[in-house]
Amino acid sequence: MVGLGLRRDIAEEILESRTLTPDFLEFAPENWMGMGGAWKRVMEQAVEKYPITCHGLSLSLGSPEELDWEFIRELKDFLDENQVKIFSEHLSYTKSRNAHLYDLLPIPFRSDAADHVVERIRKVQDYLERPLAIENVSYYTPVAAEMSEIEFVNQIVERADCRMLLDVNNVYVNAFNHQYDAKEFISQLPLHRVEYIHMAGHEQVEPDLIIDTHGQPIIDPVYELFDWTIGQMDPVPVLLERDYNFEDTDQIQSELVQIKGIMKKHWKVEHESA
Amino acid sequence: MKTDKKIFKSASIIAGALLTTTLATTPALGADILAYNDLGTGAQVRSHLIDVNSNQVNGQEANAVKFGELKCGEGKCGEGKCGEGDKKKEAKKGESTKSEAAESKSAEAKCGEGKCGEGEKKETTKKKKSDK
Amino acid sequence: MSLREETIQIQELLGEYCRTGEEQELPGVTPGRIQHYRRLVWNVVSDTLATAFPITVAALGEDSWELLVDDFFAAGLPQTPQVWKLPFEFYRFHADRETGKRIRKRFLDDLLLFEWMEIEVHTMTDRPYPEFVAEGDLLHDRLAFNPEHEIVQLEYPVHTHPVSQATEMKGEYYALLYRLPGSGNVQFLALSVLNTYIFTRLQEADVPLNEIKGEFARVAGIESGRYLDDALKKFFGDLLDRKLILGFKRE
Repeated sequence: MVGLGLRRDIAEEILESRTLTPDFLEFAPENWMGMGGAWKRVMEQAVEKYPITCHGLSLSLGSPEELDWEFIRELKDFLDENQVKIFSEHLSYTKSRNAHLYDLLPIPFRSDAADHVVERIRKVQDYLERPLAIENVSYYTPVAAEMSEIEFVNQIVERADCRMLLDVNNVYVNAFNHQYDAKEFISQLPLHRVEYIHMAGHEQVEPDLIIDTHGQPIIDPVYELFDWTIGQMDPVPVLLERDYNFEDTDQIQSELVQIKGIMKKHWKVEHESA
Repeated sequence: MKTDKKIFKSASIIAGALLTTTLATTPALGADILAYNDLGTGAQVRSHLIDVNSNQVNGQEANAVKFGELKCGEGKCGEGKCGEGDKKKEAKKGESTKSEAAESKSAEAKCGEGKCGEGEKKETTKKKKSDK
Repeated sequence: MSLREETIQIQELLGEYCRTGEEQELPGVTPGRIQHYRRLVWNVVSDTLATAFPITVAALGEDSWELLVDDFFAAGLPQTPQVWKLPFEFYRFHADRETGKRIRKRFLDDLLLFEWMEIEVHTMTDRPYPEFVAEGDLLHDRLAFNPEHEIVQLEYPVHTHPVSQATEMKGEYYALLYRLPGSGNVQFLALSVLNTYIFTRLQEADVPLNEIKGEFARVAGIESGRYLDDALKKFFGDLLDRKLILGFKRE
């Protein structure tokens, strides 16, 4: 199955299946929780028509702050109401000193930070009564690292006994920005824990820096990395993330088709877990 | 979120205002005593008010907020904030169009790093106080 | 908590830098990279607020507007995990700090609130509709109001005038915003104090208009009679056409 992130700019297009025909949709719950009116109806139609996964933005698993239990309660209600089976979040933090920052900041790759995140993932999983799939995030600089990124990610995923959302584009972006081998990184991940995969476009803003924008088409080297990656794995759903530049829906649909073509090459049977 | 005293539900809240208003200027009795203005849809209201306010602002330096008016007097001066006037000014791409076209202005957070407005504005780093 | 004090401090310094743009000494970062976090975080907040308050941006001009955003983001401590609610916090922050007064833009509170209310009415959770029938008598039947509306009291008529004029017109103004059944789009009406009173009073009383028109005439200091009946029928008839009144309640 190949899914697409539900964004308001393309909601009507997706619901009417004009050009875009994903197999499932992914919501950011924060963008839809507590809403009524027209957007609630859009969400209801989407839930009616498609299988849904949810991809959180604000849990701030790596934050020194206390977990926001009021928010987590609302989140659980939302996930239950919409019968969401797969819920993912980022291995990052978005809140600091009692202020939300609305973007994904890099957690220091340190053992105390890993302990902290493990503890919080467990708490959240227990409360939500569903496993959390943790996404490897793109980052533009390490901060006060005492271990490698792969050690940090693996420690957390294994010890929290959680699922993983493998963002192939993020691996590509990080490998470029921090000059390591993307395939070697992926081969060290616990791929049996991967619940689903993200694919996306990015933008190179400096000779040695890529920003993970989700606003451009996926480039060939990322398709190639995806092709190689899923050759190592059992079938899972794959999602195309696109956050803006929606003018050319034919082009976005062609990305969905290209992803599906690569999946079919490796996986004979369609995966139905989303 | 309706915690504001300006958003009300009770008629008694405006009874005082009503008495003051009507005592001061007793309305002429007629079919238009309850006349009101239909301002239209959100898009129409925004389009009109952006237009009339932009016309007012253009070329009127006096309308600009003085930075010191905002920041000083709050114990913040001297922290490297006042006098900061070196922000890069870059035109926003299609911002007003986006607002006017949308039936809803509610923003949508994006997954990942800085997807909203990426490349539109370049916020600068401010030197530490000790560096000044 | 498993985190060491040093790790907490490093994480907080990065957050602080993103909010304020003030340089922090962060260990183990790649030169020239950390600035991207400040830029990206700022973009999200700035874009969200400019989208929510396009009229205020136009009224202040972009440079002045950016100062308000900068001030809010540096000192406002955004609390909502849902970024679409951030504009309300921005309004509350500047209203609480009386920013409009300090920068001599007295219309600021009103304009920010007015603009926020469009988002509020468009996105607020659905309110249950009363049962109603389409046919009835405006004066003698109870009216079924569309519950998805809000009335905002303004000191300056920023909803009808450019701010330069509105600033000279301090008074009592009322804007009614409501959600259209079906499309969910928001419609705006500029009401007088008289409209606002009878509209609100009738909803509270939940009786036929005929039963409170005498009270209305007394409070408003006007004569009860045919002209008042005509005015009331015209006003509420219009609201029926505009779907702000859904129909008539029957026992």
